[in-house]
Amino acid sequence: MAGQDTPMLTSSSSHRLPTVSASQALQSIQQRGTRAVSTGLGQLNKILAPQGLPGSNIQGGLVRGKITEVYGPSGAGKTAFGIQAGVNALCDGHHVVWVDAAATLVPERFNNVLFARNSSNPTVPKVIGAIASTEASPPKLSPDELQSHFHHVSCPTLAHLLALFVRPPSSFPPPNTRLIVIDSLSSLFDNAYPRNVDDRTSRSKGDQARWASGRKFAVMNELISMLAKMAAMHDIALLLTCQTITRIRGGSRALLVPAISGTEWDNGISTRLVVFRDWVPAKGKWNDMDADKLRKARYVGVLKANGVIMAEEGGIGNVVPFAVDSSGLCDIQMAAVDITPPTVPNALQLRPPKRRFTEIGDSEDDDPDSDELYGWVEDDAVAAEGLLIDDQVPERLEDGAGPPTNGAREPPSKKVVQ
Amino acid sequence: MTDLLQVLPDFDTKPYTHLLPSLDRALITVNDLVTLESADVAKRAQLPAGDLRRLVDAVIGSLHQHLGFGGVEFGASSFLSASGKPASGRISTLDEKLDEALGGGLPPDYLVEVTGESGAGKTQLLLTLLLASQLPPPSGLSKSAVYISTEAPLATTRLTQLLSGHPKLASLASSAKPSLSRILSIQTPDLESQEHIIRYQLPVAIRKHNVGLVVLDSVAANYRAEFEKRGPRDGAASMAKRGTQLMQLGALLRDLARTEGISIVVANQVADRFTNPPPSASVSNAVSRSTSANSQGVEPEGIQQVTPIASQGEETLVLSPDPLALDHQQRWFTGWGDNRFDSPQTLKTPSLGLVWTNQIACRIALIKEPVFADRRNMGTANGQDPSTEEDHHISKWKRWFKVVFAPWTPSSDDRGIEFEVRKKGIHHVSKET
Repeated sequence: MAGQDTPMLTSSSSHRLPTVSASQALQSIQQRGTRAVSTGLGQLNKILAPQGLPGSNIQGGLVRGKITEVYGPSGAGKTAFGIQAGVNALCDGHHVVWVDAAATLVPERFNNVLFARNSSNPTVPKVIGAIASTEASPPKLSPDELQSHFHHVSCPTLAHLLALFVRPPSSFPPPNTRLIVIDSLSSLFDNAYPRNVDDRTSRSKGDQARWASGRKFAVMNELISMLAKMAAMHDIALLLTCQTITRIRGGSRALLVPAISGTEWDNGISTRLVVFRDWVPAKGKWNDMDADKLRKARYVGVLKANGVIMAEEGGIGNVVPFAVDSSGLCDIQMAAVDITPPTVPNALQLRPPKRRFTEIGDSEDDDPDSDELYGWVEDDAVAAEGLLIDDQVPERLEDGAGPPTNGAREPPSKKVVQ
Repeated sequence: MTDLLQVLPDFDTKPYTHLLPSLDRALITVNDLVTLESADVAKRAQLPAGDLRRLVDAVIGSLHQHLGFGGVEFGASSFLSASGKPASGRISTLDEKLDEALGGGLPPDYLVEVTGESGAGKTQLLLTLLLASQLPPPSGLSKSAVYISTEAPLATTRLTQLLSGHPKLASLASSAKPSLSRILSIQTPDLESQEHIIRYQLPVAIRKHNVGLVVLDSVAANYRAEFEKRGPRDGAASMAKRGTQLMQLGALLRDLARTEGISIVVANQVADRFTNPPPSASVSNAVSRSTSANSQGVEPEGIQQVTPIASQGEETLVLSPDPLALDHQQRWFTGWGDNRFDSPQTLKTPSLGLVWTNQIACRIALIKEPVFADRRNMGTANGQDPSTEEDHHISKWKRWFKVVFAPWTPSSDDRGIEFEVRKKGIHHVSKET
């Protein structure tokens, strides 16, 4: 059984990408049509457009051959993002593979977006090709045919995912696949390699134990390099979604960061997006329809686009607002002003959190210590029980509802001069 | 081997029993077998390479089969078309408005959390679901239910009351009525028994009794008790251990829900939240702040692109400072705090933190708020001054049912659906009353 898979032997055997001459490459770029799967949001596609040839207007979005990561808290819109991209890829006539790692995709939800997209504008796709003449408009497929191009896989454990991507079966990925979505990849890593304080503090570990505890990053690095390889070799856009965990930054500021991170991992991700929610804006000049959309507003921040880092950790980069409803994602016509939080808050005003001696280890940034684990200490249950680590809390309560320009209450005072 | 049977419970280990103990000692997991060269693994575990390669091939083959690749072409998939009719298998709350908020009811295959203060109505809702799951579609799944309690035993008297009093249940013929005999209940007073029962006994019971719904009431109780026992010295370590156990529980329940095709509903408690009130909602103030930021901005991080757009005179939207802070984002994924005008004193946070939130697929918050009545007009019977102490007393409670996030339905608008708990069950409050 496994003998059939010998062509994709092991990770160390190199598969050389076919070499072409430069002029051939230029021609094939122009002929291959769209270089990206549309996200469904025009503004976002523009920001994510890769550097094109002068004179050509290359469609942006989830770039083929590269990995895009979307992270955000529960309910922010990561799966909705993946669904819209999947529908767009299907409507272009290509195949889509959806890998579920945690909650299963709801078929009705996907179908609603698919039928909405299919019925709205079948002959003028949202994806405008680079050079329209070279790619024929996508074939008009029946809904049944479109549905049959959608392949769903459930990966209950990390081992299953590794078997799929590191040792792929011969029929994977299916031909003409243009997009692979892995929904909630971080859940698999969290379950396979739980963050355990004991690992770090115990000194008397045998060689085996030390090796085992280093495996997490080794496996992560292996996975990201195999994902990148698969994406590049088959010219597939790969979209990963990731949940958030809490990290303490700069004193006692609890920030939501991606649950999977590491140097190699971050290098393998070509584009990184964060999806989050915020206050519904107060009454402005918008009409009723927009107001309704605004209530469902989400925001996607571009932290890294095609290898170029655009914002640091905790920042939100260039932000595009959008709305989610049963027919998918849609743009909200307005610009979002970026207020990037500074990376170093005013140190004088914040006292460092109290930590016990044993918890201070020579930890690398990758391994959170106990205080940072999942925001336990920021968890208000802990605060309620009197185990406050954040000494700032009583001060804030005393201040009451002070005006927002009170610099002491909002430690990261942006770039506004008080 | 360390986790082989957890990853592949049906794997036939007989031909490889001589290899497993050494792999165990070398702490080799299935992930290692898949990612490393078998020669390297063999060296590390000091095993013959040929045997190990055979094991690796068998494991990988088994994993592929599990994923649906068993040797056949990965052909056309029927995932989307197999869905068929909407809401064909859902568990209703037996109230139309609440069902509407849930997109028809609770579907199987997901781990759902119901969270709220004590007295908000969690147990009432769970009892209703226990009865509804026995009804035939579209209100239920025609299946039995399991009730796992960590605190109080199953409230059978209330169940009987619902059966006879609820409008949707009382009118059914006795053969079609749900019955208490189809609700299996068990109590797990501590973490160890909870773990054992969920991991080993529950899957068997589900298959044997054709169970469609499992209710765990509540998940936080055993964790608090267990991890508070240990002294403050162990605080950090036990917190981490709790996190790990929670993740394992979450994965276990999720997998169970998916493979057995059932709905798992977990009740969770809340704690008070301490946070600063949000900045005042004046747009003008904020806009002026942003323009001054732009004028100063020499930060190279993506601000330049925004300025030209803003100058075109479109409506600009100003985001909160530090939007990715936990305090800020948790307003939306906890269920409390997403309304700017809520007073901070009433905000709650579900227990067990972000770790647990990441495990669940859906969160339903039952929000309870007091309605104060003024007592100043009441006469004093014994000459006491009525206006000193309690000028306000709570005349009644208002309750809202809110879907915070769910994979199958959009989150509720605003506060959700207002409801009340009556003798005849949970019903939404209609505007006319």
